[in-house]
Amino acid sequence: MTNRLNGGLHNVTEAFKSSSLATAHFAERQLDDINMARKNKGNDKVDGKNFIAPLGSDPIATALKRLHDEVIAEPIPDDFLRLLSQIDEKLEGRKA
Amino acid sequence: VTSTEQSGESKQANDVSDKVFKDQLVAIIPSLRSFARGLCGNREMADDMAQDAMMRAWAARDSFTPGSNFRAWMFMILRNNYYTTLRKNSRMVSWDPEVAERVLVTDASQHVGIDVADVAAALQKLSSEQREVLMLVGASGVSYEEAAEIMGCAIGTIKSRLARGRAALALLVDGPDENTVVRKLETNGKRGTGRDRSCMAPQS
Repeated sequence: MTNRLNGGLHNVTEAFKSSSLATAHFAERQLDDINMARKNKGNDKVDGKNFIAPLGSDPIATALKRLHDEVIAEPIPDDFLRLLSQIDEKLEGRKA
Repeated sequence: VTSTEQSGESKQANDVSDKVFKDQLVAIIPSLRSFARGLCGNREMADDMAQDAMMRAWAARDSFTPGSNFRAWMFMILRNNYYTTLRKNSRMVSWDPEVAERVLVTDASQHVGIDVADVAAALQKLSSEQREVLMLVGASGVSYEEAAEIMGCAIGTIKSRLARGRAALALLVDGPDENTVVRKLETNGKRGTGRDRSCMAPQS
């Protein structure tokens, strides 16, 4: 946080040096940073990749969808492919 | 047109419809695995259930009306077999009566933040009906109408099971909050039965 502030002060100095337009742009970015920090306030578990922060959506619904999406994204296990091959063999056998 | 030609055409039509059926089976595998996983909470068992459903579906493919809802038909086969197995094997029952009792007085609106793994674990502590509806509507994005078709019940039942299941899930993941306690007291005051009063006992 201290580093960020120091960096911010340095940036402000640089901005003043260049132009007032750049200063306005920087101030806007700082405001974004502050808003983001406010949003994240209290979410001390954000390091966990599965953690769902309640930002405007229902975390239970999001978690359920993610559970579903995780299975959907898995590669199809070989057992299933073998089963499909058996079906293919039946189809081919009937044609012959 | 000879009868041999007719039977040849009919055979060709069967081959085409079987090929279409097989393609539908292939496409449904990921959703089927997800639904099964949510139902039983175990990867290997879920994949066995999904494969079993696929084999049953293939064997019964003539009873499927082409153009009707294939997903609903497959999910029905899977769930029917799941409940048959559940009845045979009581160890698979993960119904928690204590949770069921508390569901009635839960306010699910209070959330700070939750972990997906906690939700997956909590899901297995619900009744199978609640788990099923949460997986169908909440996870797979199935409509109320389709869920009602799959589960063989009214849309109103789907909605109430969903609301209770969701509340139970939130309670298991978040734990009881102040609103829950207040509503418990209100409920107890209104009903005043011995069973309700038991809810007032401190829960560890």
